[in-house]
Amino acid sequence: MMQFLLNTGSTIEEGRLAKGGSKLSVDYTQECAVCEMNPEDYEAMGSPERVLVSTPDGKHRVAVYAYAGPSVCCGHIFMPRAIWANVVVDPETFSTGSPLYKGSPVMVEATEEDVLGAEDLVHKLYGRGR
Amino acid sequence: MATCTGCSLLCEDIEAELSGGKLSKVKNLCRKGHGHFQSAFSERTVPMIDGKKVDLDQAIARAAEILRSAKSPLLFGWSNSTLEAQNVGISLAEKLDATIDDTSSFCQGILMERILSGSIPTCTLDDVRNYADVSIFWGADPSSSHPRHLSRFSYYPRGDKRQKSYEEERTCMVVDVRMSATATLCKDYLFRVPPGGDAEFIEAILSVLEGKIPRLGDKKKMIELGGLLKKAEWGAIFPGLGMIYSLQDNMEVFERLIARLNEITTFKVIPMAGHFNMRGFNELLREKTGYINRVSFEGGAASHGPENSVVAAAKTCDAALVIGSDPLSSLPFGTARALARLPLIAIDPRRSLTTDAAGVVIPAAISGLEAGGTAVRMDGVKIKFEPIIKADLPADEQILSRIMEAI
Ligand code: SF4
Repeated sequence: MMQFLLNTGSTIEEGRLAKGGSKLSVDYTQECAVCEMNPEDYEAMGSPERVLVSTPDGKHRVAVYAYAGPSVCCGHIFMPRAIWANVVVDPETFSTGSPLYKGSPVMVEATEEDVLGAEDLVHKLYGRGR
Repeated sequence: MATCTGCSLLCEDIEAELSGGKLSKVKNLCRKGHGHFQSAFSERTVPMIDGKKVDLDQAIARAAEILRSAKSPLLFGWSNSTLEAQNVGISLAEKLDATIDDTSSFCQGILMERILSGSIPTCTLDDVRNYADVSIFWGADPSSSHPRHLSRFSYYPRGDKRQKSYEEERTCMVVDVRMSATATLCKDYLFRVPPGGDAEFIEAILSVLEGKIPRLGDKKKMIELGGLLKKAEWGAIFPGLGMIYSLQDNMEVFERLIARLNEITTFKVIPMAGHFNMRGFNELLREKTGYINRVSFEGGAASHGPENSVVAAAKTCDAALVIGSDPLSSLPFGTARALARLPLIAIDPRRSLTTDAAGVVIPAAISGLEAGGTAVRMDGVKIKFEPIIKADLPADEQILSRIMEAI
């Protein structure tokens, strides 16, 4: 298991699908339930298809697809800003009442766990949903 | 011509036909806007109470009942509603002694406050098109979030004073933790900062501007950046969430940088508001209460503070109305779960995790496509638009008025 800094942000496909009302679709999961890692980090982890991203206290965890991309530095991961990333974003509110969407510390390890769609994820997390 | 409400650029030059369940004859829409227009046909909501279909009147009556019996309701969302709807929303909050907050509360609010109060100089995007020779995207990735920003305003167009545009006269720079889509366009001018490193980066720029050698980072690159900033005739900085989350409480250091740059040349700032009318809500609430977000009307007078932010209020309120927003997918897990456990009313044209969790769902017309109104572009310019198709659904404004009447 390795520690990383999580950076979240928009991608144009996320925008297209979210604005298009497709946030519960398989396409949206494929686009947003992902974690981009630096190629070196990715190889060091054994080039896994999926990884488990968790908060340092291990309380919250989410499985996502992993891939190597040159856009992030070693020690950082990038996830599109969507529900998967929000499971592990530090809800620390500072005095500004704002969560830590950039630079949250997270743990990452290779996993065999299935990647859940948004609805199933909510069902698992809150025990509700349809 | 239609207006796209897909992001806060509110592009007014859109041609499109929406008929027979199809989008055709499209001109000028970006990929994101295309998705937005197509959404007229997908995942539309229907009126529901506790997961069962009802008629609109019943859903509205139930929403009014929940709000009436709540002691401290939260009204949240607003950035995807017209000014007209926001106006009714603020009156509703007043009537209910409720807490009202919008998405700026966990994104651009902290900077927008300084723009609206005049402590950081700003300009319009038309000024940028006409005069800017340097545009800096700071923790922002417009190629992904505001896809036509560079082509309509900041890089490619030929403006009054910038006829030679990007080939000769414009430079665009990116400050980011990663090589974003926008950064690939201006690779030579990507300045990488570590997460949370923006304040130190600004201190380094300030010392370079004083002619000192910066203590941090790639010294050669910092000196090059200092030179470019000093040489700029008319610069524009577009801060995105990357900068906001990194600076947090420390926005004062950015204010200092802008003041220093303006002693040397001209530099203006436009926050990269995400949703199409976030700025509109901030302006309107400020006009009425003096605050741009996080307002409580408890006890009849407006008060402001972090305890009224959606993140905090989700845990203290006893009912919530969410309009045009999907906090269950966009807020961190803990806050989202707190909202999901409340008596929740969702007003939204489209199905989302929030509408799925809501006890009451009220479908609305999509602003810009099915309902007209006014919105404020990211740079403060008011844009009025007409609907391009007729829909039987009520607009946000009408739904809110009806709830208000029923309370
Ligand atoms: S840039 Fe924004 S407003 Fe313009 S077409 Fe794209 S999504 Fe719509």
